Amino acid sequence: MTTMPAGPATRRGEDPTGVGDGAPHTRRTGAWAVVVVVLAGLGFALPVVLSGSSMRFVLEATILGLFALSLGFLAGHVGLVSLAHGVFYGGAGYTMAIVLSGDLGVHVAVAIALVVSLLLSLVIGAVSIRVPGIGFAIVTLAVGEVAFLSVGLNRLRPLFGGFDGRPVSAESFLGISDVTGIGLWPAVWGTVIISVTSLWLLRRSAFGVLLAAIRDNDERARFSGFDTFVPRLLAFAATGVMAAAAGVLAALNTAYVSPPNIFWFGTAFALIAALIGGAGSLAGPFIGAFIIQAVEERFAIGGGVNLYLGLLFVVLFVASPSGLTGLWSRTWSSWRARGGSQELRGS
Amino acid sequence: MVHLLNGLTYGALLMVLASGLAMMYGLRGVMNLAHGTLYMFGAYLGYTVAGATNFWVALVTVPLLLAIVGLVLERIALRRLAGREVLEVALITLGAALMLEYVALYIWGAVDLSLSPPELLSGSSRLLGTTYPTYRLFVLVAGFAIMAGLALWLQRSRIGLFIRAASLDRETASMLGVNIDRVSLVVVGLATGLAGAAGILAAPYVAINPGMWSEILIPSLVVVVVGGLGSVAGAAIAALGYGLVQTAGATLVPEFSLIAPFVALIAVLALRPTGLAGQRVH
Repeated sequence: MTTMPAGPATRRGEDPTGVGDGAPHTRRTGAWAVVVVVLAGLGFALPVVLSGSSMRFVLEATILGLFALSLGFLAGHVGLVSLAHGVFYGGAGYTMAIVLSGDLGVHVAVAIALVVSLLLSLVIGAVSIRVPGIGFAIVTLAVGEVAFLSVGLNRLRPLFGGFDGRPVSAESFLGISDVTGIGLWPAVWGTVIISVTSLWLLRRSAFGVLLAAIRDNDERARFSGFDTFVPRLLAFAATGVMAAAAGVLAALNTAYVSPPNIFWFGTAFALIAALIGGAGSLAGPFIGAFIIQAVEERFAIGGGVNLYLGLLFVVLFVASPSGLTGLWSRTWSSWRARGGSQELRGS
Repeated sequence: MVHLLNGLTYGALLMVLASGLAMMYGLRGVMNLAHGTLYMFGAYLGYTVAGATNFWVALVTVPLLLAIVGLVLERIALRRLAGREVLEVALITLGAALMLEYVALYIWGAVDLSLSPPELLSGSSRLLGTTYPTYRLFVLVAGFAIMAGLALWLQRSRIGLFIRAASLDRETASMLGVNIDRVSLVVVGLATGLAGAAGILAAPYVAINPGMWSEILIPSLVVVVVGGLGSVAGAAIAALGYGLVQTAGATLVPEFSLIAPFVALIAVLALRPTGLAGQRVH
């Protein structure tokens, strides 16, 4: 069986007919895996197909999508809405800027940035996860505010550059010399593949099930003998590193980092992207990020970004708390159910 | 001394805002991220009304206008969202805040507006050996007076009793015959009215601009959490504490005066995650 025709053929076969039979199920998952692997591979070739400006759009939206993915996973699967992830996103950029001003090189800078973000997220998580309910979101908001105000301090200007921010001057990254252009795409796409795969594996693991159990009822999880603090802290830190990876890519691409990278508005926009797309899903945050990026570019001149984004978000979120992907899967399954029943009547 | 008065004045404003937030959360389960926006509209409307008439008319009408906004909001939106999760409703109010920011920008523009205090309160007074702007003293006194009135009302009136009961345990209160919908109409109207009052009180002493909602929102939210979610008294104490820590910061290390209160509040929560008035975590 060659890979190319296998995908579409089985996908078509899977449409409304093959609901819930046992044997084709494994064949179907196998075929899905092939499709996903092929798509993942083809993704690297995207710059060949797309023109410069649309590729630029895709690249920026995808970085936003990565940031949104970290927030969406934490919100949808762990039940924690964090507004502090800008600290990791922007903090990674700042670490890069500081390390790169020495002569350690870009790869060491990236590694240090990720480690610093991991430590930051462990500390911030340890303080805020103990605060129950919506209090968690608000404490993370306060933490983000402290970080935002701190990097802007005049006294720390030599380190953070005050409100002017700092340049992130990397000459190359992983052999890519065009880091500020669309040449960065393979690194971005590679990060997407790694992040999505690890979250997918995490979700299916026993640890992922435990996280979902804590999200649904932490009291019962505690009662069943599970520690609810450490798993949530680890999930918080994992998504913190993911946000930091997005921040590294953004800093490389814009060659610049400034306090707005940390500010809670950026985090809130990424969160809104995740929720528009569907916080519980892996594709949703990317879909939402593309929508947000499109709205931002369309209304950047003339203003009104906040108005249209707010409106879009409120309408969609009131209608469907699980976002567009939730809406889609509900429509899909009801359509499939109807198709299935017709088939029953037919036979 | 001047720092202390500054801190207390800001604390008084925060108290007024945070008490409304705390009541809305206690009763409706709504963490209103658009509360800062209502405050901003209070200031803008105050600017417009005071420009057309005078400050005193604005001081009376703006809170009433905002209270009406709250009543409408409760009837058409919050009541319908009552079944949704706290976080979802909070995010919806954030979306609303983003939209309303643009509405303010559209009507009043992006430029800083300023409203001068009424003649009676302009200039400065001598107090305890320092001179201090009279208007700020007025804000300070008005803030405390509002809080005293609110406390008295919550303690003495029948509906105050209902509010306190419902904010402790909504379900039990409604089983015992408290009509949550009716009480919450009062509470939401009062909370948004208080936000309007804070807005018009603040208008002559801050720059009125479309960004002012987020500047005040974060401190008032944090204060509500530190006070213990839903507790009006806790929020008021935390708000004053915020002002005082800011004072201490401003006197000791001026550069950290904005950061210090947040650090203090986060430290309180690290030690007592459910806040001042909250129960201990098991």
